[in-house]
Amino acid sequence: MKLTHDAAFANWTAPSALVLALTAAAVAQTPAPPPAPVGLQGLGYTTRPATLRPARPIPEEEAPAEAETAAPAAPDESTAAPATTRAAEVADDPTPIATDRDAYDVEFFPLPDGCVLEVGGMAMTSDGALYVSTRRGQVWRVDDPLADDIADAKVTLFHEGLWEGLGLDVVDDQIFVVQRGELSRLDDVDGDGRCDAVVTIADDWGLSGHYHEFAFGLPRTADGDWFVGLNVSFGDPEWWHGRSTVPYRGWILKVSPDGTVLPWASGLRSPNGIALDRGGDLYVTDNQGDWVASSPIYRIEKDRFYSHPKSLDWTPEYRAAGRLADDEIPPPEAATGRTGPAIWIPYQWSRSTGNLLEDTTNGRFGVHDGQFVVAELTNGMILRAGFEDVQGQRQGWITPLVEEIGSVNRVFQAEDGTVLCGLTNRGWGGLAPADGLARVRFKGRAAMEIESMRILDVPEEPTGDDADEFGFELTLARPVADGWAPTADAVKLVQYDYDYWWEYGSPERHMEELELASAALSEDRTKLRLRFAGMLPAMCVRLTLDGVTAADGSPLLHDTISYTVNQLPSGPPTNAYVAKTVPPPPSKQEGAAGVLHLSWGDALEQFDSEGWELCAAEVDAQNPARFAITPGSSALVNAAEGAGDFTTRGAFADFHLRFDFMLPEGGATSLGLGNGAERVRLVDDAAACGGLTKASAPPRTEVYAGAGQWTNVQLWYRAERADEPARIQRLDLNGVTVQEDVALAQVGRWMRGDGDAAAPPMSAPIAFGGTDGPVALRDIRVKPLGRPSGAVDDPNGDAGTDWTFLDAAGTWDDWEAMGDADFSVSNEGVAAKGALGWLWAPVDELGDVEVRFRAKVNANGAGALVLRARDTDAGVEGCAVRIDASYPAGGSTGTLSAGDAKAEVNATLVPSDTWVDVAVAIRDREGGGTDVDVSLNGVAVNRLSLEETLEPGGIALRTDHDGSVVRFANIRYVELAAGE
Amino acid sequence: MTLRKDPRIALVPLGRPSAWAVPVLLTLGLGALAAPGTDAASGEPAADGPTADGAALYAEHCARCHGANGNGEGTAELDRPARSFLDGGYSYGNTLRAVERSVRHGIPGTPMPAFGETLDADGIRAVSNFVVALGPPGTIVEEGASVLGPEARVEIVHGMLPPLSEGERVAPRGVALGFPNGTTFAYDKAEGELLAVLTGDFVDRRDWRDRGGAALKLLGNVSYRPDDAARAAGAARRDGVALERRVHTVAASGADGARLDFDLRTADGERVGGGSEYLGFARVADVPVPVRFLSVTGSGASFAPLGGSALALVEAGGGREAEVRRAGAGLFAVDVPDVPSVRVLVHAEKWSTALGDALAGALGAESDGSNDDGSDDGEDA
Repeated sequence: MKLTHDAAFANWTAPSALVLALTAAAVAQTPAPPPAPVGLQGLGYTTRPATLRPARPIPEEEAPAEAETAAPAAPDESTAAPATTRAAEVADDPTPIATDRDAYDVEFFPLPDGCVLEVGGMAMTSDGALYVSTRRGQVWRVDDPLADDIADAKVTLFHEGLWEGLGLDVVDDQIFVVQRGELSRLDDVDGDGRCDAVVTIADDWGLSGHYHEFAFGLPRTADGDWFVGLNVSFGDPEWWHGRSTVPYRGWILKVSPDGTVLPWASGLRSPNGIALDRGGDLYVTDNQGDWVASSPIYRIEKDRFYSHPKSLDWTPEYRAAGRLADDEIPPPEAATGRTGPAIWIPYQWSRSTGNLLEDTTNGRFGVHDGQFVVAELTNGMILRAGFEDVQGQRQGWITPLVEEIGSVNRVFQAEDGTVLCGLTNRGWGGLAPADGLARVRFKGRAAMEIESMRILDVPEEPTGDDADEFGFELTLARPVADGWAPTADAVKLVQYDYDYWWEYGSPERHMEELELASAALSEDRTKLRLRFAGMLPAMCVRLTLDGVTAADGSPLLHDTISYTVNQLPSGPPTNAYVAKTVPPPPSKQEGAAGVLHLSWGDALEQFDSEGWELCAAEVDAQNPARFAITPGSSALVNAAEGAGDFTTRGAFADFHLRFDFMLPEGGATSLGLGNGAERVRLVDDAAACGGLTKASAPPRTEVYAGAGQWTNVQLWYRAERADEPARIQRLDLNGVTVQEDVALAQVGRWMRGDGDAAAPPMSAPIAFGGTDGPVALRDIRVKPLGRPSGAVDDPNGDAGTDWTFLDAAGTWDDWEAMGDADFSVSNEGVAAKGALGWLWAPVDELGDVEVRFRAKVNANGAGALVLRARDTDAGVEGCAVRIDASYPAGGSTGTLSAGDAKAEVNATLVPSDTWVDVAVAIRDREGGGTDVDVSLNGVAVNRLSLEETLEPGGIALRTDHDGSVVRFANIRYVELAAGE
Repeated sequence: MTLRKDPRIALVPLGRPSAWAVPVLLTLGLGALAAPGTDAASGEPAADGPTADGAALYAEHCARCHGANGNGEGTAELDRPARSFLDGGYSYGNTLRAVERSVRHGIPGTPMPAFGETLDADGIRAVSNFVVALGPPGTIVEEGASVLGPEARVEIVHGMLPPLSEGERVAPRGVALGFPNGTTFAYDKAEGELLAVLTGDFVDRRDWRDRGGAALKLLGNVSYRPDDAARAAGAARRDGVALERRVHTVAASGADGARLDFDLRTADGERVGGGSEYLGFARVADVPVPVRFLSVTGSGASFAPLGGSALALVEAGGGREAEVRRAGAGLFAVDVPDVPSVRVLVHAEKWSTALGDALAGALGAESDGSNDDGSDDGEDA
């Protein structure tokens, strides 16, 4: 029978495809590399100039004529608006400019139904169409974006199906987009206006699957190379702490059209905005967070380190040494090898910065040529900035420009000066609208603004006391009205700096208002020269002018401007930074967040402790080879005959462990790591104490002080990975390092040996030897490191899981309070203040589900998160996970209860006023009944097995009694598949 | 793109330095047929809702099998009973889009035919709404705004693929190709490896929620997963050593064609060749059977010969016959002797004469209609 076959192969203009396939096969017998790419021509790829890798050259005679596509035409001078001569225009119209909307039009493009434009990149083709890539992985084409009537612009879909598009470029009318995992070229092979081929240009960077691994772009150098920025991912001890588990997270990369990826600069956290100026200098905006005090604009230079330490793990030096940057201790590079931002954007203006661009339209946007326009999400505006080099270091000023646009993530400038603003804030937060595309056009009349700012050296010819005084020259867009004078009342300058630490952002520190030492207004009343007493380098300033108006009464639209003083213009250059290395915040001195106090409260509960008891112990004066034991709670001793190891119930991968031990004469214990094949010897012998049992690694220094003395142990341990052995990063006895960077070849290789590089590090309990001899232990605390927050049974953490975040701030109106508690929402999450009350999250009935959140409770406060919560006649039912540091009524944080059933945690694993990452999984058993598992800071601590099956229900936050203050943050859930 | 007028093209033999001036070895017929549904799916229904009369269309096209009242008891005699619509529940999922797909493309392996060329988009929408209305209320679930479904063209979706079964890992660099006929091919793009073929709805872009970054949710049912034998059959080798694939282009063509181009590299990362994997379908009784056409180039790059004698032959044009062998569960390899750089993989549980004919049709020649054992079932799975 003759069947109508499918067009599958035919559609490839097709025959050629197969011809070529077999042609290629024929060619296979010629030496490599074969001229394989003829296939591409055969498929019509010649309709676009191909920028292929050299490995697949286009034979010259096949090269398409279109490859010679002309560069975008120069602007037609006859139609383009002439560069604005502001003063002249202003003279024509006496109406004051009272708001930025008097100077700028802000219009939104009408979008087709169903188009949610979450803009991540923009560029124009030579026909004047704007291509817009989005976080949804779509690329939209906007025809006639500069039409007089914005309704005439037409928005159509060019492609969908990318994994985000946070940067877009147009080269010879071809569309390039940076996706999470690759830089791609989008080809419209058949010319129907839709992309039908995605060509990988480069993908040589790591992607672990963590949600925070964004890739940003996409500026291009004159040589045709792109720059791409990679986020760090997040992890413990705080959910927002950056990690760099795969190559080049936290780096700026230079990507060549041939696919070569060159790590360019390190130390970035969330480098959302990347731009080149006309001179080829690279600028990158970052987002505040750990190690990033406020939102910076860096000038990026090759091989420099900027701020966030985690990226250092991928420097050749760190890789060679197997070093990993610490979570909390600033790396050595921070002190001398760091490059500070050119501009710190004050927190009040930006908490989430988008990209920036240099205005090169000679005033068509009402911005001085060479100044920069900066996108901002949180406050939803664009700002204006300018740079100068001072003692070899770039620095500059910034001030708002057009406010209340919406969450502007991307700016792109057309040749007529129009600035297109692409919006998005999904999951990030920012001013509404949360998405869409706006265009901002200068109306032609300049507002009264501080047009620019530059730093002044000390006077060459001092006129009095001002010999040491630095200052600033401000240029105003228009002359100041008569009657205003730069007096000390009218000019305010505050100076401040920041902390460089692992906390999220930094307050402005060392804030000081500086005295105005001298001030002069130029004859034309547009230039102000201001000098201040006590200006220092490595500081920021914020300068405010009060009472300034233009002659026509136009107010100074933005009266405040900020300047980052990396260097003063003269004197010895400083090597200090605006963000100064400081000790971690005092309240976190112990790194309390993320720590589990395993032996607080019920000291035995979290251990397998056969033969051990909680008591008071000291070396027996009668028999110094044993302990004298009395009732008490200051020591854990393997007192009973036949005592076994003292082994944690939870398992740990990477961790920081601290504890104290004491031995009688001849006493001994050991610390088992991983599978226990390697042990740290803790013996009554200074030459051996701190050594290892297998590796030939005696303690570097003899620290052990002798029998009867408590010795403090601190161990930083990195678990075995598939591709590298476990490692003692550091072992300290009484604060003295006795081991450093010891690979433990013996540990591991027992759970797997398949070399699966992406497998999670090996987790294992920590075991204190109970059979080596008598020993006393106390105060055992473990801080899991580098682990995802709150994993119950998912060692890969959030990776690959479809978390639904309960964004309380964004959906607050849908949350429902009940009872006698007050609930409020802030950037820190939900705060619940007792008495007894519930807050219902806007979620549907949930069955098998894992919920993760962070919580903090005040001393004597208590609360809970209730799963499968139902409001019944008998009260709120469900399964409660208790958040309780110290309240006496039954069960500390991690306690589970449902109806009468209860599984208590009586170890006080988490102190009050300390954030803890909680994960709880609830699932029904086949055949009836429900199991609930809870972990704290990534370590499983408790389980409740219910005989009855708990009905599905919602999620409620609970505060238990008067005086309770419980905070919940970052609540998210994922439904568990059966058997998961 | 302009389709070439000549739908047939001569394929050149191997082993000659001149790639073009050689006699025909295989002739692959490649009629440039519009895929079913292309026209029908080209437009969304009018904003005011369908203007077509769903009841009338149902009576005309559906009632004979599904019954006048939708109880599945029509007058036609069928191999398999038609679905009753009275209880709700549909082959491709309980969304309106899924019902429309069934109407437009039919349901492979069942008597349900495709109406994509019979009804326009409006008519499909109308009859689908009518069918849905026959069932109990609440059967249809509203699709989330993040569900993508290919309609007139193959959709190429990049993203993180979730583990397809327990114990597997995510594939952060994944790509899913969704075909309007309800077939999805899921690849690990980093390794150029087919992970699965699925049938049903396409994909839910879970990463459109919250901050983004979540894995895609593939909505179809997994109909094929490669086993070791399949992986071996699909891997190009040189000197007996498997070469690594590195996909550099994923391309779609219309509604029924797609292609992955890849470099071939040694374990050391040296590029030693390239190749392509074409995705398409052979139709057997209107059931689209996934076919992958693999070809590689490069010195010494080839597919390992499969052992045993051929279980069927397929006329491949030019007087040549391609040999069919099993290449793992649910997979057959079709090789032309002495052309080790090309392999056609056919996703079917059983080989049949009809499949051979369909493939021969797709390859441009008719099968001789006979199998080695003469049975229509060929080899059992």
